[in-house]
Amino acid sequence: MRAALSVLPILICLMTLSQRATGQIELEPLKPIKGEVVSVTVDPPTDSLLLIYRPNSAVAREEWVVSDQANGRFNWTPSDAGVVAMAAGGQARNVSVRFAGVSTSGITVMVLAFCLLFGGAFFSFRLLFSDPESEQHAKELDVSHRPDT
Amino acid sequence: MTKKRQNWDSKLGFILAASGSAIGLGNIVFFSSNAYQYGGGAFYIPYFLALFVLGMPIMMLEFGLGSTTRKSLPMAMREYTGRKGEFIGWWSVMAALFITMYYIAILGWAFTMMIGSFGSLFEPGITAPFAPFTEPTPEPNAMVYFFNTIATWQPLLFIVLLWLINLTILRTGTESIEKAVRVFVPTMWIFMIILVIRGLTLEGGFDGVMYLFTPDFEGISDPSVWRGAFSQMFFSLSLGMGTMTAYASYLPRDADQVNNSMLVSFLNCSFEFLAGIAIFSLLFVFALNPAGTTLSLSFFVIPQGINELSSTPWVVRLFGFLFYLLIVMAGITSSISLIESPASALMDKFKISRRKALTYIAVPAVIGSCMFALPQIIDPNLSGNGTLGLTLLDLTDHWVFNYSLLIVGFVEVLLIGWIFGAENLRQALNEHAKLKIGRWFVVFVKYLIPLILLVVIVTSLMADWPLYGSSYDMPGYTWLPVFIPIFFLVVSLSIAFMLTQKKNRT
Repeated sequence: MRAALSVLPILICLMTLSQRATGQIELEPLKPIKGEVVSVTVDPPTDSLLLIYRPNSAVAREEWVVSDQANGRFNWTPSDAGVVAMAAGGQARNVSVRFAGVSTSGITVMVLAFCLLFGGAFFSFRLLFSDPESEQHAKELDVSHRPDT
Repeated sequence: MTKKRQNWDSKLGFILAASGSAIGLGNIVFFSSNAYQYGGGAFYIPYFLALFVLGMPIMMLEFGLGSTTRKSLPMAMREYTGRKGEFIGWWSVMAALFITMYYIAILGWAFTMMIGSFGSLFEPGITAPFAPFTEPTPEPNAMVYFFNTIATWQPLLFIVLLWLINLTILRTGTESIEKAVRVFVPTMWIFMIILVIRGLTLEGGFDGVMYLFTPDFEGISDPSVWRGAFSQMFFSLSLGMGTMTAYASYLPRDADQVNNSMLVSFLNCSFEFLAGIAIFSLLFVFALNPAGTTLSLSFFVIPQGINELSSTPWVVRLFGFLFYLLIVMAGITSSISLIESPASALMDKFKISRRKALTYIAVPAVIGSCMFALPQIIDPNLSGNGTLGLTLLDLTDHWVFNYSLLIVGFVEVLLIGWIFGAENLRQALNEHAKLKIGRWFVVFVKYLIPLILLVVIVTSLMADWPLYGSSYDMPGYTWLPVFIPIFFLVVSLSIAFMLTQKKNRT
């Protein structure tokens, strides 16, 4: 049911910054894949690029890429799939790095969780309606029971 | 005159109502956010442990209290544990009432966004009445739209409308609740499945799903992850608010509460599973960060993703409308249970009519809901930093939701475990259970769950030091972070004490 809220001042600040900065860092290809080289262009040019894998999480990981070219171009090989926050020279943007194939561990966890949750619900549903007499009994109990309205 | 208690028309009606109560705003986005922050699939380890060790046993306890006594939480606790139990029951009911107030205020905003889907929510040129949003946006911007719309009188009208919807659904008790949940709950599942299908059919959508489930075990070595998982499970299943006990009290005494608890818990978590897929696939494709809270994700981030779903405006509007309708329906199925909890308690204690009980609750609570929406309307500049009104909501949510429910759960489990006797409850539950619970239940209720809850409460308090909210920039309102918890404690505990002292009417 949770309706948790936020530390909004920080959020507004971050969103404003990201709005102003988006679009200043260009990528080729646009949809990077884990393990494949991506060409990043920063305008105006800078000599280093900060990458944060899984930003704003307990397992966020930073990586710096230094440019060996003068025009603000970087060659970056994503080491992990997922959301990556890029920042350079006051510019910032997010990018999603896609998986190179199928994530076996991801699929395994998904299937296990699916089987446990939906299997459990299915099992309980079957158990709930396994005794049709009691369902009828419950209905019979009700007929005159609407008095406290 | 002693009146007979209502009953659910069918087992399915009860299951839909209880699962509808558990599935609320938070289920749609909160799980995704936690999973993202704490290592994707690895988060399932503490999550499942919390489900089986804490969630299901406490739900069995709360369902058991309701169906064996056929009374709401305060009166059921009184029957089994005496006056101190009744006091804790009333405190829990008061917390539910406080939560209802701001919960419906948030629903009012969601309703405004829902209507805005066919208005200017997905259009450029939006402004809000404070910097830096005073200039029209070049592109659609949900956050600016949100701040613009909550500064109008619209949300207030929708808050009143939502209260009317809630009271209409509750007017004849189980009969009208069942009619509503038979429509709302299956519709919520259908909408969620539509969102899942749309997310998975986006280019790269499945990568988002793999991102959600691929485990990063580094995250779960952090103790705060475990605290987060255990407290999330408690909130997610709507425990400690008296809602589950109130709903279960309308079941016949021979209801199988072991299986009911399992089913409601599995349905709640299955819905979260689907919501995780829908949210992650959408946000991953558009490189949006899923870390956030219910409010920021629901009102700012997800609409950004929806806006990118299609180049055809009506498709975007339709998905925006469906998403907010889903939020409103999930919210209503939860808010009716939040109101039913104090309503059934008042009816049980004072033997008053449902209409009277609902009136006693609605009058202060509607005013309370409006109070949460008013700061943004009266002061559209929101005292310069754009957040004072929302900070009020944030602080109330933090103290009422985070602490009172956990403390109620802690005391409730201790009283039942040690005064009524966990073994007695186990035997009562097993009497009609098809799947019998073993002696582990006694160990859990008497030792393990109280210990876990105590650790969660103490470590949360330590994490809140210095006082939660004291670092917020609120010139002239620095007293607010101290005032809110004191106000809640004084008001809720005084009313709980007063109600406990009143004589029961027979």
